[in-house]
Amino acid sequence: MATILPTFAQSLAGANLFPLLATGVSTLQVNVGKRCNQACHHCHVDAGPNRTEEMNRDTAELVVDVLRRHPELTTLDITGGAPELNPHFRYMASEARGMGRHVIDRCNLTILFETGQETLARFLADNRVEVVASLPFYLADRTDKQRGLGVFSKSVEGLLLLNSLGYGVDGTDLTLNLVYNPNGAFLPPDQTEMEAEYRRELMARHGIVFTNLFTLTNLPIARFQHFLERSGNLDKYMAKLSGAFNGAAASNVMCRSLVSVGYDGTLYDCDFNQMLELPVSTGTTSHIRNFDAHLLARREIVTGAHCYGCTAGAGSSCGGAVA
Amino acid sequence: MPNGGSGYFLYTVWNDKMCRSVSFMWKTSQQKDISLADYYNDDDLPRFAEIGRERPDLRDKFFAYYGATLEAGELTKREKALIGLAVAHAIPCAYCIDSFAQTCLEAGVSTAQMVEAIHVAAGIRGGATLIHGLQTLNAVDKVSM
Repeated sequence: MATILPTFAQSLAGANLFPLLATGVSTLQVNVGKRCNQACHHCHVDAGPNRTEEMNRDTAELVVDVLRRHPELTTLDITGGAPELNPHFRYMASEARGMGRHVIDRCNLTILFETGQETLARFLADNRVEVVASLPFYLADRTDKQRGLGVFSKSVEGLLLLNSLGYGVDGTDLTLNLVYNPNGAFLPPDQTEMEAEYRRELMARHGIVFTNLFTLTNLPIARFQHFLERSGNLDKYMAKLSGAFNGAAASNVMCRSLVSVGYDGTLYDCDFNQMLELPVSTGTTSHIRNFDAHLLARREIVTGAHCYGCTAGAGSSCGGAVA
Repeated sequence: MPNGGSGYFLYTVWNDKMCRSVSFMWKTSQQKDISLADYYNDDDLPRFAEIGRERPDLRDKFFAYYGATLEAGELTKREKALIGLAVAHAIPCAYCIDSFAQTCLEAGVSTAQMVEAIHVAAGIRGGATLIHGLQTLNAVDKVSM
């Protein structure tokens, strides 16, 4: 049964949020490329070992330069792909840390054991980089179905390694946040309840500790959209997302305070718009070399039906629930 | 029976190992076949609110109560989702199973936990059948010499 859903703009208007405007720019989220040692079923980046797109040194230097010129950018959030595979990852992270900025590495955990990454965990700890690690479930079956056979056990090894360096351990300043995302066409659970479940199960089963759990919603783009189409779930999933639209979540979406940088330096409102090739609405200044903090801080966010993924229920962001 | 027509069901025995394919068919007054799959149309689930077509006041009261029972209280939403799934199987209600399987997923319940809850329902249903065996024994004893 086909159902006509309200457009995202209509839902925003219903919550008195249209057009959706930025409230400032405090986070620079940089996607350094699509190369990854994994090829997860839900990946919105379509990342994998055979992807070659990656940020070059010139663009990485432009990112560092923007950070230097804009102290209001308090956080550098580095993602990919597996961002650590980019040869300029450590350069950007250490430069930003040298400026006193908070740096986040969105880590898939298995990368810690790849050839050439033997010193990665120590580098992250020495530089006090926050690790946000993907762990879609606290059991192997759902994690491996989504991320590949054997990924869960390697992820457990990775978490134990990070714990041994102090990550996620009370009394240290090394933050280890985990990320849950649903293994299919359903919404994530309550973040607080799920965090308690993860904490209990990971400690009892593996002796793992962590700082916080973020619950994320799968957005209907790229590989996850293909899954929805193949499995006949797309219409129902979209109806579920739009039916769960939450104005409070919409007012707190992360794109309002973040600018996303593509591997080629193009600026976007978020990593999802980046994958949909929807650059920021500021026209000629939509590249890192023309970074205009004033314009970006009051820009109109480019939205579409996929944005329902960030505004459903308790909302979803790279930092978990928002409402 | 839809539209008061005559009903029958088709019962196919595949082989002597009692491996059966069962499909229910109903003849309506327009002689249109409706399979069980059509009868339990999962597109009906999101149309639940239409049950208020004649008495929206009663629907609203029921929905308010229904929603309130599932809110976190002394039990978490997750625990209530598992209870709902077990009851759905005990009833058994195809709509409720669809709905509570999804609710369990959205409460972060593992598949193994769902299956255990279903076994609890099955155990209680089986136990209920068996404990009534005592009624049979009582009835037999009452009239026996």
